Amino acid sequence: MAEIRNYTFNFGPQHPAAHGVLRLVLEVDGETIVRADPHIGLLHRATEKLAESKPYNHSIGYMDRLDYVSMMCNEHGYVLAIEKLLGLTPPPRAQYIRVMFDEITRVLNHLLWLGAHALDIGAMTVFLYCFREREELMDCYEAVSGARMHATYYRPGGVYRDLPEKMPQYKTSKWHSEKEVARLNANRQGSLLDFIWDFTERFPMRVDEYETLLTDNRIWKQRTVGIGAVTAERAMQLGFTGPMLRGSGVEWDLRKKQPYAVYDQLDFEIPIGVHGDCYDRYLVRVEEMRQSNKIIRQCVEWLRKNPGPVMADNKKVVPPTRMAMKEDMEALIHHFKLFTEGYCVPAGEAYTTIEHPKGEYGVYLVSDGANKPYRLKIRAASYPHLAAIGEMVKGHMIADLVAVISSIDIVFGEIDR
Amino acid sequence: MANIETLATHLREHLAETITSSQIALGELTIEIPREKLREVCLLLRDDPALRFELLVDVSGVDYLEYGISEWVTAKATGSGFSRASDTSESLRVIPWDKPRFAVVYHFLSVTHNHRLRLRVFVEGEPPMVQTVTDLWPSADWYERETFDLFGIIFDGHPDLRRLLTDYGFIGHPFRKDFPLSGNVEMRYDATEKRVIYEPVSIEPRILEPKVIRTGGYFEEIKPSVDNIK
Amino acid sequence: MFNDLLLILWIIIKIIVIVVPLLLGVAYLTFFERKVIGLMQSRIGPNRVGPWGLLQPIADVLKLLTKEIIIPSASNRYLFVIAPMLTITPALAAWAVIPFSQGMALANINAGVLYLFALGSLSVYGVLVAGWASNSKYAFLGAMRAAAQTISYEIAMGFSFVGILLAAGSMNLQDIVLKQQGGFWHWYWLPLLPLFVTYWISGVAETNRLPFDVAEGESEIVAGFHVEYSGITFALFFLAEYINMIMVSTIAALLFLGGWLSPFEGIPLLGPLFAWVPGIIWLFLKIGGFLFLYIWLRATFPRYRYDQIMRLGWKVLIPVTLVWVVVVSLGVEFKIAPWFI
Repeated sequence: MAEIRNYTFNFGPQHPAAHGVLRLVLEVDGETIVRADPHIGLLHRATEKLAESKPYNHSIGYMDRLDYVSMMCNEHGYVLAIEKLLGLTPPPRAQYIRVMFDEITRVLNHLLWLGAHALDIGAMTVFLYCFREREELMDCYEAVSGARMHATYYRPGGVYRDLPEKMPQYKTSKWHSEKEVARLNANRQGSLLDFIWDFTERFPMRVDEYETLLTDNRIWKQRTVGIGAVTAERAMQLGFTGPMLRGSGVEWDLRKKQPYAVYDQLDFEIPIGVHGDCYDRYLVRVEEMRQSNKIIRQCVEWLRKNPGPVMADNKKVVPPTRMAMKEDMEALIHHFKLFTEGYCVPAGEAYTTIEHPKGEYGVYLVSDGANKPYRLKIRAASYPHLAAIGEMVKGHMIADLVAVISSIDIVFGEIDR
Repeated sequence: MANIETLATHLREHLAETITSSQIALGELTIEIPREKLREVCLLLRDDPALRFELLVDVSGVDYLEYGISEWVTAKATGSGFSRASDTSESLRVIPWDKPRFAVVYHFLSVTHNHRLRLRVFVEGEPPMVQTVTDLWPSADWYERETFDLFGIIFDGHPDLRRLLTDYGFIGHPFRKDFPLSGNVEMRYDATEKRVIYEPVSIEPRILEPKVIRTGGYFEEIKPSVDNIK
Repeated sequence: MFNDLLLILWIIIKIIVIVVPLLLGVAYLTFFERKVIGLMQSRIGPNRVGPWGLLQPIADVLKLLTKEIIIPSASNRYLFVIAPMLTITPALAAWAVIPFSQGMALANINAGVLYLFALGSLSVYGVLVAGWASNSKYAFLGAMRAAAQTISYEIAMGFSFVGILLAAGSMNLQDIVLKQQGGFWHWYWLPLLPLFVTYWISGVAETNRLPFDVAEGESEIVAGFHVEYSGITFALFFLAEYINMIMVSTIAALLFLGGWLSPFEGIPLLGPLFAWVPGIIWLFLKIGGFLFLYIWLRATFPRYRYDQIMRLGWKVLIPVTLVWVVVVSLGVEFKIAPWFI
């Protein structure tokens, strides 16, 4: 009798469901996966090494490019680490702005995740619905920083500038008549906060729309219930954090347990799952979007009532205003020093974590008192999740592999760094 | 997070002979242990009911080769060349360093007690070697592979210590401080050979912003006054 | 001799009259699909080429025609090129027996249903050969899936045909349609409802459309059996898929919705009011409805997993059809009015 060998093939690095550049070497018995060995690093840019060669502030922009679907959260982690070493506390308004944008980012991330997850399982419409909402949130990014994705908005000591009073407007073109443009601009007449408020009014209904298409859909449930299940204990051993850990039923959220910024003053709840399968993770993330919406609303309300500075008052770290530079010699010197040499950070080490949309995003920063980090280690949130994929898909089918990969929410900018 | 003092005391009690140094700085507890004791300590960290560090959050290598070395002093600028401001003719060591070159830093998290711990193990020798903890925390698998890949630290007993982030066939350990930022080789597609070839890197290493270590009254100025902090 | 030549010429003209509008129909079906899905997904769909984007299908065809055909070096060249032809030929040939209105068919043969069924089964060979000849693991997996799926669903489909044959007492498509005369309630969709539903689900599965598109499975096995195909060879697969979609819709309209018959037949006021409408218009409306359903399904559902499709086919659809075939035969035996007389 002929010997029957298992089939080995490459899943990726170019594959529509590989979420970037994942290369999985799969060994399959028919359609059942016997072994999955992820090969990563195809997007390795040595961000941490690059950061060692430039002053602290220059690397903020690199953080956006790590997890390029939750940009500001990455910045937040990095900026917090610097602030911890400097002993600097940003003014409360800046902290509220940061929390608001962290949550906007969480919604952005979860929307992309939901869209991609649904698309991988074959539900195409959800993807476009999610992108419709992402569009508006991207506009918030743009309004505040000028960039739709890589914002570089957070700075040690606060945020780059205060929220704008005016939203950018659509203009008429060959494809958009005046009437259409007026409709598109209808919710852009007020300030950014009004725009965000308007969005949060509508957003829960949009989430209902996604849920109508998926949550009780029999095919969706057949494809996700019981797939890639991880028990709570195992999830902790594997180093899971964030929605992955919560999906397995561990109530762990850094925003509640180890609050940073102003999360301790906000009212929200932490959803947790039961079985730790793809379906539970889906439910957890969808509920998180609703909770984020709640947080954003609280922040908008607070920010409307409390104007104030958005940058700490520290001349050695925070650049002076243009106006001050024109009049004040000392300010000009500070500006020159900050933009040529940067600021030195006291020797020491700090590990700061934030509840990133994908899990715990940690920044381990070692300083030797120089103007550049001595060592920067980024603890990517989805890194241990991907490491566990071999275990999660074993015995499942190829189609389930796709569901599991998308349910762990990986972004290679972050995993490969 | 308020129980960090208790945690420190508890650790000092239980590991009095093992811990070579323990300190609380910036609200974080760091302990250092000799590398032979790593597994013993880790087992305690994981299983002791008062510690219960269920999650190994992060493992990272640190190369202390250039720790505390400044590249520039204000009085001495060379005035020529691209990296004109930096002066590497003599060592400008500002902070003395007498510990081994490499360290492996573990970050632990306990979900039960909601506390964190940083554990540092200095490793000596070439190649530097330390025991693996993959059997205690499976999450260490990729972290150790990464540290091996980037720093060349060997984790004894790791079941599958392959390179992780760098290219297949990569030579060297890129995160070591003596590995140039621009690397040693560059690759391009060669039209005559019809394949991708590797060549020695053609760009010169250069320093754009020199590293400066400020001492003296600098940090008193940079640290905000107490009433600035909430 | 001359008469023979004339006859052949006449047949060729008839073929052209069927095939050319069919191909145009496919082109605009893709346009229709993109527009409808666009609307469902709150976007616009193609609107740049020509007025309202109406020239988009033409542009697509031109693009596909002018693209290079890449033949993988390790593939079996002959089979690789033959496979798309193997797929498109049965898809086109099946149209020979379709009656568009009373007497309007290329060939009015008595075993029409059988002929359709036979050609429908043949198309899977093209897919299998394509998957094998590509010498790509993804294509191979896709071909395997396609083969298993097509064979399973053919059984369910066959049983629903059996129900029709029992009810109509004929395998001639014209006769089957004429048997349904008497208005909306006399069409076979009502007495054969389980068979109708089964047929439709099997039809969607046969054509590899969502939620049963595991053979292509964009996000799993990239494009399945035609992953290595480009240019016109890909276009042939694409064409065959859409022709088969129209085919399945047409058969559904003929067998279950009274083909070219007016839905208002026998209704006092509306019947005479719509009597002037030619039968072919009714047929096209019904086909259009089914095609819309195809697109609607695609916009709404996630994809089944391979083994779940098998389970649905074998454990749900086949038993349902079997039971209903028995019910129908009893109905025919005891001549239950108004359907089984």
